[in-house]
Amino acid sequence: MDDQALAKDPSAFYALVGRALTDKKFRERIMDQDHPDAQLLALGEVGITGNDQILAELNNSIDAVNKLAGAGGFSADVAAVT
Amino acid sequence: MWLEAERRSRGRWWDDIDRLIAALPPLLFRQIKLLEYDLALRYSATGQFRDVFSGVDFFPLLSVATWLLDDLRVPSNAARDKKERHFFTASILLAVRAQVIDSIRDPGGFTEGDRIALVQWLSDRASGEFACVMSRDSSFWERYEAISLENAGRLLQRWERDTDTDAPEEPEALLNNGWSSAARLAASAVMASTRRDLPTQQVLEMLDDAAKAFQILSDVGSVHRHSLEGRLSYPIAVVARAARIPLRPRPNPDVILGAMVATGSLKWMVEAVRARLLEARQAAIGLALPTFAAFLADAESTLGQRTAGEPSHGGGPGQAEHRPPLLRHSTPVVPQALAMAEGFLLGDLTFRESWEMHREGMFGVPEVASRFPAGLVMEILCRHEHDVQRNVDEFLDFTLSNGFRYYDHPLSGVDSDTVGVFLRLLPHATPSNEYGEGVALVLDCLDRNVNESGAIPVWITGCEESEHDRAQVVALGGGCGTVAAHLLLGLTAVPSRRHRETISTGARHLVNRIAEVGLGANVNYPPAYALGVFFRLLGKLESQSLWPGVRRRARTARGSLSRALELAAKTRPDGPQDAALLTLACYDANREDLLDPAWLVQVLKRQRFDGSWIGEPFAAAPNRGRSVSWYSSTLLTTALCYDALARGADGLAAATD
Repeated sequence: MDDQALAKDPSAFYALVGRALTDKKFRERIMDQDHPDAQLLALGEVGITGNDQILAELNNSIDAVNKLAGAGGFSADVAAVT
Repeated sequence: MWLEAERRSRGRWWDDIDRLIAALPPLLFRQIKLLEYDLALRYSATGQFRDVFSGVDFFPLLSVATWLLDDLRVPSNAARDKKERHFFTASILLAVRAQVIDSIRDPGGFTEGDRIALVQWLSDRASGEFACVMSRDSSFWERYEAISLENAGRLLQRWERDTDTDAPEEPEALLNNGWSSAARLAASAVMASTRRDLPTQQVLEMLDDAAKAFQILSDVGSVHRHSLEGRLSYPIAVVARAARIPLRPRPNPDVILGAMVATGSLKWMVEAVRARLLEARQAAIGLALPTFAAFLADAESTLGQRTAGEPSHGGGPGQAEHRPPLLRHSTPVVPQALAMAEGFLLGDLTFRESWEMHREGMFGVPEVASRFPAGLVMEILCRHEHDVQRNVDEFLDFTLSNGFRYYDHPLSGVDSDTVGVFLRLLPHATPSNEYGEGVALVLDCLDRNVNESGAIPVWITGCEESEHDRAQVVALGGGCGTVAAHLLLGLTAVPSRRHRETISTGARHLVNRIAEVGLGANVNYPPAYALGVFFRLLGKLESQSLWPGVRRRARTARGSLSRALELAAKTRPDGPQDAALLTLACYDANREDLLDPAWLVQVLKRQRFDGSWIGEPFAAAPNRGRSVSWYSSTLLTTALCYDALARGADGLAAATD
């Protein structure tokens, strides 16, 4: 999937960002500084050919995800016990 | 100031609520008790019912009347106390009602449609509370009628939106969870009873804005859960619109969450909340309602802390408080339910609870048992690739040593159900085990029976010499086509041509019977279960090239059973086991087009916290000598519900891949 295809159907990109929000290990994997290709690989796994623009968009979104997750803004609800 | 008034009113009136609930008849009490916890877990910082809708993080649904009376400077006296008490009670009844209605729509929760009586009682009692204060000719009742009708209309629209594929997805139309109408009813009562010179409509609009702001926050918090469950909500509709994602079929939850972040919809919604709170506060200031204005100012400032993930401060002595996170991470319900069920099913690998135990003196002994149902449980576990090989070995060893008798007593007859489940489990046993000779003896016996009668018998006779001693025993359940199908499924699972004639004769008789009487060929089992077994067998027979005559008749039988399945699919299943069996029958019939998602919801709503489903009637069994009652087993019902959920989840995954 290239730029144009992605612009037409961005679902795969959104799913990637959504997974980064719900799956902490996945988020850490694609932000791993030791493996700069991790983002390209993750994009490739969902059929997106990464380029500078897409990578910039992904980084922006992951940044927002990190802020949300880091601030406790996306956490499990309290569990009921008696 | 608002907090003090909030605490004061609860301190004064909550005992009335406790008394009201304690006086309910047991069934209503049981239902409302669960709702108390539902509300407390969702809308209370402490998890206590007494604290619902209190504090700056929650819509002050129960404080509306008190704050309004304060702001209108209604003096403290007996008349005010009476109003405050009844309006407070009405508010909590309406809050509980809103929660019941929302819970019924929640496919991942445990609230079912049987709460209709509770909804009626809550409505009646709330209007009764208002009637204790408001005279018959008060203008309040006109507003009451208008708000109630508007609420009912919006509720119906929302309900239809969950199922209607063509409904427009206007986000605003999804902001109606009952809080606004409950608050406006309480406020209307206060306004009408105090007759102050204040524009009632503006007060109601201010409350509506505040209620919607808090609902947006609440729904944003639940966006993950709602999208996992395929439910629509305001945030989901907003995100879909911003990202231009179609809502039919429901988008993947990750897509919604990702789009919410990537399109900036989350920020936009937080700002929408802030704008509504600000508007409500300005209205409150303009209306000279200082308590509301103070609360809304605090709510606005707390919104910033909440979006930054800052913890709440304070809390009563000995009570922990938690601020609800902006977004809550949810566990998908079906995988969780499956894991719970697996925990239960694999908890006791003897599966003893499923044994058909008789202690009424059958065969003149204190206790006899049939392990046949445990075989059905293991068959389901094998279907889902659980490693129960050792337990299958034990089951087969026992069955062989017991001479394929149904019960573990020498006077018990040899039966086709037992032989069938033995043969079906054989491929899952340790390959080196030798069962050949024992099986050959009983199958030779079966061959003779089928040759003589032209049909698969329920009870296989002539296998042993001691049978004449059974003169005092009446064997029940003869002529059951489901038992015959059980055995034929077993025989077709064994790669041997030796009993080909028996299969051919037995299958011909059974499919003819089904073609003639349809589901009437079943005697012993729940109809939906028999449908699944019959369809499974027909599928096997139709795919075999060995018996062309049978194959032709099988198609006729399939037509008859399909009509029965279509009819069954139009009726509401009678409990989770029935819903599970109907689901399984659709899969076995390759009729996924008949599947109703509500069936799996019905299954999910009745799972217990140990992972099980309570045993439901499965087969008629003798009791106390000359009577018959239903056999049921929690393990077997759980296995059937598990099977349906697992296959339903597989089907769902395949459909969305």
